[in-house]
Amino acid sequence: MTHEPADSPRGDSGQQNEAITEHQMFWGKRSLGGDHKIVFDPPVEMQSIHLDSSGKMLVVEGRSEDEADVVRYVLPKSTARALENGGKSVEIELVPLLADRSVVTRPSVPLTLTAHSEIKIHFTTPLWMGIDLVDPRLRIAECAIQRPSDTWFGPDTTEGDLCYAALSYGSVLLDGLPNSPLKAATSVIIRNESKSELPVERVLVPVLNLSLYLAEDGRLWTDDVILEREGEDNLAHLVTHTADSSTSPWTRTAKLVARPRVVPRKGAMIRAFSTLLGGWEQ
Amino acid sequence: MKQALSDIGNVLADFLKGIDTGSLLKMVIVLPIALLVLHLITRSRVRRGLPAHQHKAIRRLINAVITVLALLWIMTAMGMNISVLLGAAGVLTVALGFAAQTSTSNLISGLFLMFERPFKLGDLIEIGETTGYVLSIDVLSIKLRTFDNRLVRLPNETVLKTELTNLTHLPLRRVDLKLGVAYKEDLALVEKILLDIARENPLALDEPKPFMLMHGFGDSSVKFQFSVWATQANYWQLLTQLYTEVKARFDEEGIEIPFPHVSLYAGKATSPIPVEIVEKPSR
Repeated sequence: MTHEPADSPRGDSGQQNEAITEHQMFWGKRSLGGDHKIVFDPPVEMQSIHLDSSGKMLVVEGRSEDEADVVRYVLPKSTARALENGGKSVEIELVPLLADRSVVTRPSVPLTLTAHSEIKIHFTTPLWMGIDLVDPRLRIAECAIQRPSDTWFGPDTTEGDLCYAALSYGSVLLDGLPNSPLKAATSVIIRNESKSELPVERVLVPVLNLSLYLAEDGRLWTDDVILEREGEDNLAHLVTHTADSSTSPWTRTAKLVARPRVVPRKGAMIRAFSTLLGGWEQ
Repeated sequence: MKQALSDIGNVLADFLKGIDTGSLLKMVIVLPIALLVLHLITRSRVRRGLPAHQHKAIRRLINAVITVLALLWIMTAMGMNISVLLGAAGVLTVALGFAAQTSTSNLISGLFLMFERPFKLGDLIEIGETTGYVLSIDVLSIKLRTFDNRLVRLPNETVLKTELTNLTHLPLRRVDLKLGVAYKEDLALVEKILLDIARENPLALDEPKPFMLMHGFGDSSVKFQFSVWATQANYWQLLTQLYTEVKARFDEEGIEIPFPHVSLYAGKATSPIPVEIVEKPSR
């Protein structure tokens, strides 16, 4: 029914219109019933969503042949009863969500921020799909559209956090950012207020703390993130800017799609930067 | 020993004779106070957030100490001479000490383990030949549940003396695959395939990076290790997935995983090995 379009840089108005169409094709409300099923093309890891023959269960099928890759959700009694009493379909909504862990990204080339300098880098992070029942409003399932690899973010293998590794690199130029309805874009301003240099090899994007918006160009944007480093370590103050106070003009008119999974604390310090850990020497 | 028991008997007889209304009243007052103190102390330990097993052991110890002290207090308040009782108890302790050397050793080892805390309930540990999840940490022994669901009791003394590996203490674990390929294979291609396998598996950590480490030239293969990092929870699943995937991809790419080859040499002194030539069967 829908597929991921080829990643392409943001371009002229013609391409913007195309992006909006692609977004509308993927996300939004769908009716399920009878033989009608939602079928996804790769790289979406789900193969289809449909109702089972009894009309009491929503079936989410993965790509593998394995029976364990099929998950059946029993629908609420009111929905099942409506189907029994002559209702022909169940309405669901596919909602874009940010990942359920922080995402570790990399600039396209390693950077070093000198003392008292700053840079804005645009990153894309993988999206999750929320499958919502429309009436009654209920989140039935959440799944990764394309499950990213796990990664470790910390100074060594004894200390750190489990995160997801972003599938693409960050870019200083907006034009270098892939445009896809299956990815969310985040502008991260890195400020080095310290007296020492800051090597930026890996950056943590705290997507758990961010809202998601649909911009006019059809791209999904998150809140802006400011990571302000003051000390000599890899910690930074986390500041988020919602769409209305965004430093990126294209998100000011964006529509809120999903709220943060975890509301950020004011003045929170996070481990935001890390160098590459290597492998065998660990 | 007989003398000690006789002393205890005399003391108890005196005690029973001496009970009057006043003494009973004192007991009624002292006992609730002792129980209240016990309750307050155990509650304060809970608030400090001690691990469950340590809290349990400390609670038992405090319980015993307070109970003994309360009893002594009651006896003293009732005018009993407890020095005779203590003397007899000392003799008994020595006798019991000899009889319970092993238990005492385990008890003391248990105390050391409790404060050193090399593992906690639920950890996966390896002691000697035994690997299992820690089910309980008691005063005399620890109990492990092995992978095949057997309960193994290990005396604390053994645990303290033996080398112990805690397999789940740290958040990450490295999956080491021991592999070998034929001498004719392109090792750069082999490495590329292995890294692709790790990259495509979401359970394999992107950082720390997977790597290939050469082990040398074996009898029938080039030996190496392919190591991938994973979280503790995903270790076993990833280990199985990687071995399966490596076999499948090597088969697909025509990379040979050799088994030991044996060259037969008959030597001059023996007659040649007979060889029979047969026709290739038609398919």
